[in-house]
Amino acid sequence: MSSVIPREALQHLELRLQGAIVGPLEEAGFFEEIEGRELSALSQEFGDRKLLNYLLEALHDWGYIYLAGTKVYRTAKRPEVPPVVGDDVEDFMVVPSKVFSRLYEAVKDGKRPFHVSSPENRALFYRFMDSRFLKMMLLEGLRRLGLSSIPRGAVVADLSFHMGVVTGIIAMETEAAVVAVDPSQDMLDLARERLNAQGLLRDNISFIRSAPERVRQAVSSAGHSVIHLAVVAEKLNWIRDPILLLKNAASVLAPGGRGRERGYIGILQSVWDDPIMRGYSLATYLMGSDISPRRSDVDKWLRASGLRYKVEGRGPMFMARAWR
Amino acid sequence: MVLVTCPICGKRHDVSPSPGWNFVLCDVDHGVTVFVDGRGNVREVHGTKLAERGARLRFVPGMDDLAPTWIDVDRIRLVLDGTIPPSEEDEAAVRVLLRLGIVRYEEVE
Repeated sequence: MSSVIPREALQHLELRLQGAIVGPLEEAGFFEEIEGRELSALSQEFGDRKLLNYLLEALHDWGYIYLAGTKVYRTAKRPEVPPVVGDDVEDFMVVPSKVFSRLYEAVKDGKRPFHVSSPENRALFYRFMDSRFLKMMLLEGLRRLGLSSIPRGAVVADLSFHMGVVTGIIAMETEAAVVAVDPSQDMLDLARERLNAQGLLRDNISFIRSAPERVRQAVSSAGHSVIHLAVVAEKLNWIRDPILLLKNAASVLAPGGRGRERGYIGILQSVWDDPIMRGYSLATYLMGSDISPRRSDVDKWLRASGLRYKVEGRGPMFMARAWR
Repeated sequence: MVLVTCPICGKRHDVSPSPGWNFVLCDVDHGVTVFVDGRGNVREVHGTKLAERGARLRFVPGMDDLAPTWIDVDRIRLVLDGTIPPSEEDEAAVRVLLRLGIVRYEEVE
């Protein structure tokens, strides 16, 4: 299946993200600070070592720094400005441009000033998840994972949520019953308002206050016993125990047989291995997530959950169907 | 749900007790803005006129570029100014903007 997102747009996005990261670091004197320094010494001086390590890895792989032994040096490469950037890329860049303006501060001081747990940052994260580009990626991924084929009588559990952005996509793509799960009543109300404002609210959409890992209780609260699709989109880097989430979701999947389709988990996840998703991953990290997992982490979690799975796509997001 | 009385016309409304600012339309020219604390208690109830004079809901300066892409910001500005009557979808959009802190309640003399 060909992608609805032009490859050129993805390349432009990658260049814009690199520029949004490297520019503020240059202004803050980051490259002078790390020039010729030992990696071990740097990790002692920066407040967020994890962010530092991933940032250095990204800068290295993008060609902005190189290693001589264990010392770091700047290359001659400077951010490239893409010749033409589409509206969707600019729309996506609204939030990364803001959060990367304080990237140096985050890595140096170990604080994340745009963490979504602060109410004043809600709008920022919502706007990020709501960007046309990201919604296109989510929509395309969820279609590949069979969302549009889920029939009216089936049940879809949205374990991703993301302030209702994913729920909105599900509500647009299928008439199946939807169980949207999130621990915050405030966020559930926000999602309900969103669907209401978009004319997508209907009786078979339930908003259940629960940790997504407690999926069985959530589904039961909504009056269902099984689910036909559990959507886990961009969630594995937002929860403490991905294996628990996957195991518990698998335990509520509809069994197959006698002409019935078996239920499955649709996993759509940015992975650190994909160069385009690195800037995206660093942006979401600054807003409160973990760094996107590596592809091998997702494989490991799926195996540890006792699930069988089929990979449906590898770029820019990892997509898989998983079942018991 | 909690029952609140509109300070402008006295009509009663059921309002979601979820924390933060909530807005419910009362009539074509005004609504009720309610602040609910973290325990679900109603702390503030304001009559909110959607009119050119005495408007009470305003976009927070510098935040309008963070408005969700599916919300027609120009239309909501006209709604808040009382230029056009709000539809049910507009009302929901205003509540979303309030919850996100993009629109806020303002006392106006």
